[in-house]
Amino acid sequence: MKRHELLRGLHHVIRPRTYLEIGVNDGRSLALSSVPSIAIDPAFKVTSSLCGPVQLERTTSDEFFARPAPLKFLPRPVIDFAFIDGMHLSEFALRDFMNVERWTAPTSVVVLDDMLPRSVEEAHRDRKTNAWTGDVYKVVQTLRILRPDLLVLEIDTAPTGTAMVLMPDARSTTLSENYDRLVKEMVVPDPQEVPAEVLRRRHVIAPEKLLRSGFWGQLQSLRARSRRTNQSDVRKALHDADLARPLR
Amino acid sequence: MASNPPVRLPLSYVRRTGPTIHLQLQLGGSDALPETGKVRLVNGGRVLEGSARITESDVTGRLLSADIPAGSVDEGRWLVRVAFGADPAETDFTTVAARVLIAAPNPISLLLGKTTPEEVPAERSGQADPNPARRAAAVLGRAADRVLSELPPDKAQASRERIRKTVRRILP
Repeated sequence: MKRHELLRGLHHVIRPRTYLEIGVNDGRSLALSSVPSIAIDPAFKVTSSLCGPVQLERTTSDEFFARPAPLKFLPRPVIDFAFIDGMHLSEFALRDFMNVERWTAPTSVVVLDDMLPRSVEEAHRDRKTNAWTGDVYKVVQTLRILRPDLLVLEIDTAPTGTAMVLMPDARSTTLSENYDRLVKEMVVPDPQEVPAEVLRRRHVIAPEKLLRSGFWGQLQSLRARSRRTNQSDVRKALHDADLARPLR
Repeated sequence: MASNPPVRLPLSYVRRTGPTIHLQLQLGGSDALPETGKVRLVNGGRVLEGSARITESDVTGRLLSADIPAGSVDEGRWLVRVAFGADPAETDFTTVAARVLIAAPNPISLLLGKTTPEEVPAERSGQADPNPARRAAAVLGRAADRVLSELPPDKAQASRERIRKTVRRILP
């Protein structure tokens, strides 16, 4: 399954009320959203027909999220579904996730693109290949080590894999507290040491299986109820749907 | 004075370590550079300065590393100005194509480009302009665009310019 097919399916099963996208390019993924959306890219060149109310921002994601009320366009300042496909360097992708997470609820879903490079060359920080993931795969490793409260799923999409983060916690400061140390560890000369398990996609979940999961119906129910949903509610739903198995 | 080399992103970053801002810029270009220099972070009238070292290797290329006392650094976009040599003159400092963004509670970020990319208005935001004259102008503009799209590009562009000038004279 290709990345855009996965995104189309996720829009269908998540039924988000709001959507945010970092890295718009020609707008193919943005075109899949029909709900109030914010799309950020310093150099977008949208050629697809868009079908929902959208705020297109020609700026960097860092600068967008530095604003006092970045989500004021949305009917409510919570991102139900986010797709991160911005700068393909690990420290940028990590900042994108940190920025997005501050505006999430535990029921929000964050998808990151290009998380499964197929070769060491594709994972170079200095782009050498046509299809380029850069070293953003490091974000998955970082989240698994520093944020065991999250569920991070690697999804076997073509061409360069995606990752999904569930149970985000907008109040968490763990990543920002460790950010400077992480930059020191992440920004290293090419070639990058891409783990074999990433290159061989050892821990991936099939996108078809993910989309068929009963979790999505429970997620919608949790989002709709009046009582405030916390991470443990979502964790229980993931456990019930057999998606919460540890992936280390 | 060495010319101002381009900044490359793969090994460039900024981070904060206690009271110090550590800036590393990967430099392109092939001009010979001295081994030392100065880096300034500039935001309006505020200037923070630190010493820089320039190193070169086959693996990393040329790296400029600077430790800048964080001092009174606070939120905002800080230009990065660089001068090469041990004791550069004021006129030797040039602004490189990178800037430092400090936006609490976010981490400190290094971004490429000297200026903030232009923010464009929402294409179909659904947020109407509160000014009725500008709202009417927007409606007329879209209608004009449809008509002008039938013309050859050069004629359409000239007509657009004439319409814009007229609208600017009318609008408050």
